[in-house]
Amino acid sequence: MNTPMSLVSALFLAFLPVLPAATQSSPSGWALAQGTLTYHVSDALHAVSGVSTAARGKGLCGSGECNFLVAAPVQSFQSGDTNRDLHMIQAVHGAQNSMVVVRTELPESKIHPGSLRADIQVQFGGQTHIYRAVPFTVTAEGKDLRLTGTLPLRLSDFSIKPPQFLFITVKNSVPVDVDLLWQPAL
Amino acid sequence: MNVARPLSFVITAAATLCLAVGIQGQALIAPQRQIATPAGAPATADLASSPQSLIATVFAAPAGAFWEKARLTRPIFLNQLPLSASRPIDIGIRRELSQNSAAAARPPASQRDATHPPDISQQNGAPQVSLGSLGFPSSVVKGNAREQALLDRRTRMLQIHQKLGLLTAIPLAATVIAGGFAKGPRIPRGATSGPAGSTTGRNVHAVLGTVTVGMYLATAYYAIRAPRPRGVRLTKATKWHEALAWIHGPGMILTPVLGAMAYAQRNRGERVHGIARAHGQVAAITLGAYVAALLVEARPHL
Repeated sequence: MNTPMSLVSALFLAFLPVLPAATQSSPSGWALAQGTLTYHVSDALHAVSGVSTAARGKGLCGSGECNFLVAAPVQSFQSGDTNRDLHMIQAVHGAQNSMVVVRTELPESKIHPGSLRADIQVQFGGQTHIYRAVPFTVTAEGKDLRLTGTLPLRLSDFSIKPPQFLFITVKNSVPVDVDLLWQPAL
Repeated sequence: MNVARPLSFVITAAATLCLAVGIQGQALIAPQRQIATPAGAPATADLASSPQSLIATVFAAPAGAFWEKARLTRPIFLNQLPLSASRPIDIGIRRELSQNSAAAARPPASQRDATHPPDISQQNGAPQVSLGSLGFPSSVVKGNAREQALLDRRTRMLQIHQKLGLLTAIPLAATVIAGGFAKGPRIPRGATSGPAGSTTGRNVHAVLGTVTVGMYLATAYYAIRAPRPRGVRLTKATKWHEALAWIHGPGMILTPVLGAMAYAQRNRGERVHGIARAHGQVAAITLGAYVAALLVEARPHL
C-alpha cells in the first residue's frame, strides 16, 4: 500500500509545476476575422472617405485583462482616387511609417455585447497618441463579437500638417470609423 | 516493489528540482513560445495546450531558464536586433521581464481608479500582442525612406503644377482681353492692306501671350516630370484633365506661332491672311480646353 501511495504522491509532485501554468497562464484570446477602417477627411469643397479592409488584429487575455492590437498598412486605404491616396500617404509619412497600429487593454469582464469605453493608443505617422474613453458598441454575432465605433483622430495629434491648396485647408479632424469582427481564439 | 521505490525517488527528486526553477522557467519559456508563434497561427495555441508538450515544457524549463537568463546578461545592441517578425525572441523576453516587474507593481484592473485610466502600454498581466505576430509581410511593415522621398517629390511637383496652372489663368485671361486691342484699324472689305495703326495693343497682347506660354510650359513641366508610381489608376476627372492637355497643349504652341505671323502681317499693314487667320479660333479652342481642364480637377467632390 505504501509504495503505490508514494508513487502517486511522486507523480503529483512531478506535475505540480504544471498546475500554475494550467490554471493561470492559459490565455484565451481573440482573433480579428474581419476589419474595416474608414477615415473621413474633408475641406471646404470636398468630403472624402478612405477604406481599408486589410486590418489584422489579435487579442490576448490573461489575469483578467485582455490586450488588443489592430494594425493596417497605411497604403491599404483606398479612397477611389489613387492620386489622392498617394498624396495621403505622402502627407502622413505613410511610406516611411507604413503601419497604423491601434492598441488597447480591456478588463475581460467588459468584453460582452453592449457598449464600452476604452482608451485607445494609436500609432500613426511615427507618432503615438492616446484617445481616452472612446465609446464603442459591441454586438454578438453567434460566438463572434462585432465592435463598432469612431476614433476621433486629429491630424495635429500626429504632427501631420494638414494638406492645403491655396486658401483651402483640410480639416484637422479626421474621424476613423472602426468595424471589427472578433472571433474567440482558444 | 524494488523497482517502484527507486523510481518514486527519482521522480520525487526530479519534481523537487523542477519546483525550484520550473515555475520561473514557465514564466520565461511560455511567453517566448507564444511570441515565436508563426504568423497567422492563433497566438493562444502555445505548446502548453497538450499533455505531452506540457511535460516537455516543464522538464525543459530549468535548462531553458538558465540559458535564457545567461543570454539576457549579454548586451544586445539595437542594430543587431532582428527586424523581421521571425525572430523577435530577444525583444520579447526582455519586454516580458520588464513587464513582469511592472505588472507586479500595478494594482489589478478592478482596483484601478476609473478616472485615471492607464497608458496603453499593455503592461498588465495579459500577454502582449506584438505587431510581428499579425503576419504582415516585413516588406509592408518596414518603412521605405526612398519611397517617402519619391512621394514627397511627387507631391511637391504636383502642387507647383496646380498653383502654376491657376496662376497661368491670369495672364491667359489678360491676353484674351488684350487681343481685342491688337487688331488695329479696320481694313476695308476687299482691300488687302491698310493702315498698320498703333502697335501698342499688339505689343501688350504679344507680351502677355508670351508670359502665358512661358508659365504654361512651366506648369506642364511639373506635371510631366512628377514621378508616377506604378499602379496609379486615374479617376475619370484626371483622365479628362490629361486628355484635355492634348488639345490645349498643341494649342499653346500653335497659338503664339500663328500670333507671331499675324503680328508681323498686321505690322506691315497687311490684312491677316493665310494660316495666321486661324490665330483667334485656335486661341479660343485652347482657352476653352484649358478652362475645362481646370474645372474638372477643381470641382467639388461632395
